[in-house]
Amino acid sequence: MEDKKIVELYWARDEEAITQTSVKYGGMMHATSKSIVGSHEDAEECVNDAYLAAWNSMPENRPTYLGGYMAKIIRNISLNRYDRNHAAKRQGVQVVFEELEGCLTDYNTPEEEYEQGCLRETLDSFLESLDEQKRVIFLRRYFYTDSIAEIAERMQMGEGKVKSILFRLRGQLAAKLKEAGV
Amino acid sequence: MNGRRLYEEIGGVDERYLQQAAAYRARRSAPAWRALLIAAALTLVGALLLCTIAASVTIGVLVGILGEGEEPTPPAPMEQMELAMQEAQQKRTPYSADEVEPMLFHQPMLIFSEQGSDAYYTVSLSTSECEQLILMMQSKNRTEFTEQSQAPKYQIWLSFGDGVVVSPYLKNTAGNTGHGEVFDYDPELELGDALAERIAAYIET
Repeated sequence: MEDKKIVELYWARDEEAITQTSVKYGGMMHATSKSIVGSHEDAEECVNDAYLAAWNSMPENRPTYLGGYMAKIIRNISLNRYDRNHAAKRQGVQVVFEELEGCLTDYNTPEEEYEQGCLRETLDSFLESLDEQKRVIFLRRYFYTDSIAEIAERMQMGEGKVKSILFRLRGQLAAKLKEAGV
Repeated sequence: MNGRRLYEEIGGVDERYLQQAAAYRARRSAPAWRALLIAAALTLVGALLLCTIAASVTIGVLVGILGEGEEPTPPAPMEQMELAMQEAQQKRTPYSADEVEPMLFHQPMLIFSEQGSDAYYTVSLSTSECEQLILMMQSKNRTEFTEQSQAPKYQIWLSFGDGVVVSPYLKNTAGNTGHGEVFDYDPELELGDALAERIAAYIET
């Protein structure tokens, strides 16, 4: 079913909306969540929470890209779950945080916090400047939290090449953020 | 905690890009030796085709000269496909959706079901046959399914063998994907002659 029709079902408060969202995006949501929380059971719970969040948020929102909308919801819920479960072990999303560590300077003062507003804008312009392939690689790693092996498989390239593209992209992003004074 | 902060900010990017990243799948490039093999096979098929055409023309001319009646018109590809499915319904085992779903994790297959029926029929495919169908499904020439389009008699799904199921009647987006289940859908695209013909061929063999 098309996204538009599913969104209409949400607006009509028809529970079929959740079934259709599950059919269309359930797999993607589960995979995204599992890469953050690390366990099948937790991911399952996060996915159910995400359906509820979508159900509650939809009368106000009318997303054009339901897949992207659901991806954002599941990512936020999974991050909260990750915080609750936070294991001392360095794994999954923790590795991604570390990779991104050097790109941004510290925010300590209110003035610096203010600059954070520029961050979203700079990120959007950075993504806009990339070609499709590089943008997909960046988002698969830093939004969907895919492993390097999963990205290599999706993009039909070697893991080494993926790592080196990500390394260069992080460098470009860091330069862009610095230039923007973020 | 800068990494964490940046990761959270990335969560707010344009949903259009997220959709694009979810749908993206690079096409597998065949190794050079495979391309050579395919070229050789195509040359052979081409030569055989030419011989067949030459023979048909000769026979046609002879039949025409002898005044022996006209060739029956072959059915259109869509009809051909539906006929193949109809015949397969007699020969193949019908399954329920519950029986089909575990099979989606074994090997690539084509699944079809008559509209409104609970019986599902499966046709095993090789990986390359599955890839062929996927390539044909990505053709940009396929037209939108409109109210004027003839309602399909059958629902069709393609299972990749890893739990991912798509329908050739749906647009090629990550969203049009069932995970580990056959799913109900409204057609969005016409199948097109080439795709219908290929599906018929896979069902008939």
